[in-house]
Amino acid sequence: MRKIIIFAAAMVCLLVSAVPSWSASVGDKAPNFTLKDLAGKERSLSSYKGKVILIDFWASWCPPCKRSIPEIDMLYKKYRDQGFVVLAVNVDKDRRNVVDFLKNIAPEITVLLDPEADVVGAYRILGMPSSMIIDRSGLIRYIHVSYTAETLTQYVLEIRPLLEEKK
Amino acid sequence: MRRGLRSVLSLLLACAILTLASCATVRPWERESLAKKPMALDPDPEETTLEQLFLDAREGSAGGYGAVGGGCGCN
Repeated sequence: MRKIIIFAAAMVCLLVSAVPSWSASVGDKAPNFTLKDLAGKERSLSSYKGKVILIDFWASWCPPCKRSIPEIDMLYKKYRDQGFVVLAVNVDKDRRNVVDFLKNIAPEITVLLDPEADVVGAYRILGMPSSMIIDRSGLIRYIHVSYTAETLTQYVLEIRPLLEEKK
Repeated sequence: MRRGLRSVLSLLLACAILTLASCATVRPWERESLAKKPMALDPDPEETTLEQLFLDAREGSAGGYGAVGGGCGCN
């Protein structure tokens, strides 16, 4: 009997250790991070406090990102004057792949590099690409996994009311 | 003898637990290598489509070749 209990306890420990401890959820405070942009300048999430922020986790090897990055850039250009910011966190290991990817797009959104996957690992996203919309008070309000033909429209519907909210 | 068998079984069970525990999930941001063309179930979909067209015309049948998939798991 005692051995069975020990065995059961060991199995429970193994199962518990395999479950992720935390993943970003709607309503959570967005954890702060600091990453370098393509020019090597450090940018922190906390420095954009008071703005509506779209954090987009992407990679050059992710096929839907070929569509998402230009469309998100378009969205940024439309709403930036109202306090909208995009932080496109790239997870490529090689910076050259990022530069090649962006060469023809030339986006104006802030592209941040996370080659060690520290930030993407901390947010524990569930798919690539993933995006989160953070309100002016720093709370995660919407989470999107993957990017489809409807995602841009969905972004607009979510961002507009958030831009009208007070700080 | 029975005790020896029990020890061996216990050892095997312990090994199984340790091995199973080492199975790791590939995180979405770790799929760079899996996203490469040779890792896709069908590395050249255009060529396959063309072959399928010839096969359809010759055999008078179509389908039954599964679905697309593999790679980075995006969308």
